[in-house]
Amino acid sequence: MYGWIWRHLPGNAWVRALISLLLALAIVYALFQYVFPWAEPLLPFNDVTVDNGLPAGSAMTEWR
Amino acid sequence: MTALRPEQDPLLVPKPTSYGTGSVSQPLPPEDDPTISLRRVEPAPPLVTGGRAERRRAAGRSASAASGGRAERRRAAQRAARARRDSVGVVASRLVGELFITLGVVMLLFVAYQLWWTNVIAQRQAGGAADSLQNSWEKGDGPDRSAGAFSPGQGFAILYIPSLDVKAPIAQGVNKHKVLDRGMVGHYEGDGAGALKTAMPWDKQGNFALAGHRNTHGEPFRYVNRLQPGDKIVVETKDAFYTYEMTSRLDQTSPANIRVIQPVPPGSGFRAPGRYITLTTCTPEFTSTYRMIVWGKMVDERPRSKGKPDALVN
Repeated sequence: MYGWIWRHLPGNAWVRALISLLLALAIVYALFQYVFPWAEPLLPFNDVTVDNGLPAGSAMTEWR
Repeated sequence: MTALRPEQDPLLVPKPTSYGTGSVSQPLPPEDDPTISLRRVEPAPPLVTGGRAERRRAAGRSASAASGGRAERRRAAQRAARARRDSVGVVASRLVGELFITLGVVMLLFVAYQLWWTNVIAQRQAGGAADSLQNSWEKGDGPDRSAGAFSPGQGFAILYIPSLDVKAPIAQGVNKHKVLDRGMVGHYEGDGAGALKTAMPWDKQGNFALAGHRNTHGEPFRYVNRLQPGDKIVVETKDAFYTYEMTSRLDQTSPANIRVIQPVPPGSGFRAPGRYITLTTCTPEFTSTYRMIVWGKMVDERPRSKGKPDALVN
């Protein structure tokens, strides 16, 4: 996969290295800006409130 | 040993030159190179009939005669690469391996995003929110503080915990995206039915309940477990500073235990209605399995005109 990309980049080795670096940075940017914020709520790491997602009344009776 | 390097491919040697070792009058046929024969697997015609020493001499001759430039060597390498075709299995397993490596790198990047980048972003947002709040208070055009006047996500106060060096804006509601993920502390404002609605600091009595991130996104409540009874918690609003004193802590409770933010929470040690504060966050760190609760009671209410309370001066 990476070898295939490398072979299809234009220019000599230095130009290819530069383009590869730019591509990697673009991918990291896209991950940080769009993919990770989207994926974060789907993962169970960061709920800090009580009664998360439960109807208030039922949670109370259940707790008793 | 040099025979393994493709840039010395004798196919490309333009002509044996005069600085060879002497027997260059007869250029070697291409198949003669042991490297090529190794690479192509097919047996080369045994033109060199001598022993290993003679083959080495031949290789040395061709190496010394290789005078091609860098571009030429690269072309030779490409040609050699084309010559050895990879089988489907090799290509497929290489692809799978590269995908796994990529997945690992993406997971590491996600960890970096969570532990570092969300804090950078949230602290920037929270700092901006706190500054704009204070600016609007100074100009005197702050939000009307009559009860229920705040729209969800709107900042209306600033929380200080001097012993933990915490300063975070408090916004209405505990919506993750609008409030908590921006580094702000959320005030339980309740839903439409009035459940989970908690008091404001300026109410005559009630429990001012807040939620904040323990990890990531500014993590204002990172170290609330280090609060000791007597530590001050200050809430600054448009008109006054409200100073609370930490009284007790519930280390671990179920996320469904909403009684902890009731006006008189069971287990807090409070018996009668009063002016209390409740901080909720997640525990253990980096998980959402349980909630940690910290309670405090108001000890001082100081109008802004009188300046900062002692807790913020010392």
